[in-house]
Amino acid sequence: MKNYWTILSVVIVVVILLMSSVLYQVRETETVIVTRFGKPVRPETEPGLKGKFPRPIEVVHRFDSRSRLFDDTPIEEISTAGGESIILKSYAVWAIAEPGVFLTAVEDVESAEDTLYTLLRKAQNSVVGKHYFSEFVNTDPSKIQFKQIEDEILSEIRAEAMQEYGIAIKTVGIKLLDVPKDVTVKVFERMKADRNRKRDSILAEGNAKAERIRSDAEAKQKELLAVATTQAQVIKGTGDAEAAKYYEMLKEDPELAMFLRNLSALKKILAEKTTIILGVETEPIDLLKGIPDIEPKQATSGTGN
Amino acid sequence: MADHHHSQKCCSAGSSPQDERILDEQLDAAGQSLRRALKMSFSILKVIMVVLLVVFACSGIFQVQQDEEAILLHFGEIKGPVLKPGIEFAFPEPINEIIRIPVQRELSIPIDSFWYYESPQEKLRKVKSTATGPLDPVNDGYCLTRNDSLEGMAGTDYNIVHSAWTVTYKIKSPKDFFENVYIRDREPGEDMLEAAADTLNPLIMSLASNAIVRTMVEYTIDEAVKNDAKIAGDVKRILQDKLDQVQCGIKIGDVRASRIVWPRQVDEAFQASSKARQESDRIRVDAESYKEMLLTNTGGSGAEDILEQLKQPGLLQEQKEQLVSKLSGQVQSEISEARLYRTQVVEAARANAEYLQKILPAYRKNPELVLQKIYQDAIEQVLAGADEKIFMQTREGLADEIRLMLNRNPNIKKEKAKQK
Repeated sequence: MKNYWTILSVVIVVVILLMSSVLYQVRETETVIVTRFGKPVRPETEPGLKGKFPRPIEVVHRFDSRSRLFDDTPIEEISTAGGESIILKSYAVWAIAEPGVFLTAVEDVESAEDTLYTLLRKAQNSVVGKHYFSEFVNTDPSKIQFKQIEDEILSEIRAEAMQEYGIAIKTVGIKLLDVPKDVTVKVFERMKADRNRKRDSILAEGNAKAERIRSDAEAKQKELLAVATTQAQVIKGTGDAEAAKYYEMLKEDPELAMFLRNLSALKKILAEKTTIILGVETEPIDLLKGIPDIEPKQATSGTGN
Repeated sequence: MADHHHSQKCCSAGSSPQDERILDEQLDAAGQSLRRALKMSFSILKVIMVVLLVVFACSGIFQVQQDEEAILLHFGEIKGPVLKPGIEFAFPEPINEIIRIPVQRELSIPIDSFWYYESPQEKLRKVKSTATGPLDPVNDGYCLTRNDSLEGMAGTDYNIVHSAWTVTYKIKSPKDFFENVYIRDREPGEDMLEAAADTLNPLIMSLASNAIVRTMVEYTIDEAVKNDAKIAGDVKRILQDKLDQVQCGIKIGDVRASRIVWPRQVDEAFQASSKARQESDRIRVDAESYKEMLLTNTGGSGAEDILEQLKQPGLLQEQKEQLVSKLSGQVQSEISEARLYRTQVVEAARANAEYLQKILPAYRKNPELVLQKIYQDAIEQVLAGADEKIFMQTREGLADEIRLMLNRNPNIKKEKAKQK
């Protein structure tokens, strides 16, 4: 009974030891290459429990297959196609994709970064050199080729990185786009001149707008007054027409009517601020000279009857 | 004495058969108690083992916290769907491994790589110092923006702006995040995000900087300094695209430009230009209030609209009159005057006519007298109303001459007289 237990424990220990030397895990975040006598024979990119010959026949090399950032590039001045200099810094996001190739060509992450440094700089310089400055920044937004330039850099390094080094480049980008130090001074000068021009045009535009508003207001005022005048004319005309009905009544004695009209005009004209110079013969001022010669008239009605 | 002897005997008799029996009995009792004790310890041990077994079995039970989701690895391979908050079971390592991912927590990263260099003292100062020198790409951050497209200007015209940003993000897909984003190994007691920050933040910062550089060249400096939400929106879109390209399972919450400013080197010119804009606005507002005043005086409020309606073709006279009646101000007073004129002219005509009708019978009977009467009344009225009356005696054969100093305003004369 005692022996049975001892044997069982020994067997279990042996099995565990054996299993640990022939079984291994590939984690979801890893990629593995199995080497047989130092020669890569089997890449394992799918996760799970895998088997192998025990050491020293087969050895497992593990790499982290998750994406990493590489941005240890210098801030670099590059000449564009038109000769204008531009300063930029790029980055790449990469991952170990082909563990076999990676193991033989690069071996570890540090060397991979050295490789990326060279690859990225080469691609960035050659692609930027093919493009004009005006494709990075342009007054006409449709001429800006920023994305295309980044895509070109990506396609230039993607295949080489994969085939030669087992590295997958997920994306590349330009994280800094500047101009040389002495150029910034010129840019400032131009920006100032530009601003001054804008300031003048803003003022001129403001004045023009204001002038337009004023003249529009004045034109509209005139139109309104014209409307009023027309309407007033119509009303006055109606009044005159209505008054004309009464003129008919004056026809019974036009002379008298004219006389009355003139008299009332006279009264109106001389109503205010008047100085009148008259000869003393004028009635009734002649009364000032003396009593007029008046005799009583016979009552015609009385004698006649 | 005999009792004493007996007792002595009794006590010294150690090897008598009776004594041995007693010893055996005593030993037996010790063995028994040992056996009992052992039995007890065994049962305690059993209980402990059962407890341990239960504990071991239960050690596989774990809780996914409210603010996290978890991934279960089975021999390194993702097993089943992402685990939501709740109680779950897993075998101990190396069979299963639990990866907890805090999905609820929103993290924010400041991006100030596009801001000019400031010494710590300068950063504290509220009023920003002026600068005249060039910008050094190594120390001073900035973006290029495009210029307005203008005739006669080169297409490569660009401007420089400084900006400072904040980006917030969250883990949206724990699976993608775990599979695709490199994170250094965790220190004991460290949270996943704390470890992630070391490698994840630089990644997001680089992608965000890329998105900012790309977005800013699409805008003019005037658009940029207004800090329109559209700019931040564009940055967010490009950044999210880039993150999706890397399949890192991260969702950008918010992208915000806390500051976008023109360079200090051109501050004066920009200030002058923004003052000009204010001045221009003021001029325009002045003109607008002049317009409103003028039209309100002329036609009352809403005069402009009424005028527009009046201008529509095919309006009937009645409709026109109705519209005009809505106008007030000068227009209405002119119309009122016309109405007054109308009333007056009609009334005057009627009064004249009626007067004529009234005196006509008397006049026909005695024309001279009636005329004389009317005439005299009128002259009397005129003379009574005159300010100054001068009567001259004319002499025959003599050319008389009279010279008058006429004052246009007789009141002045009166006032002078008063002063004296």
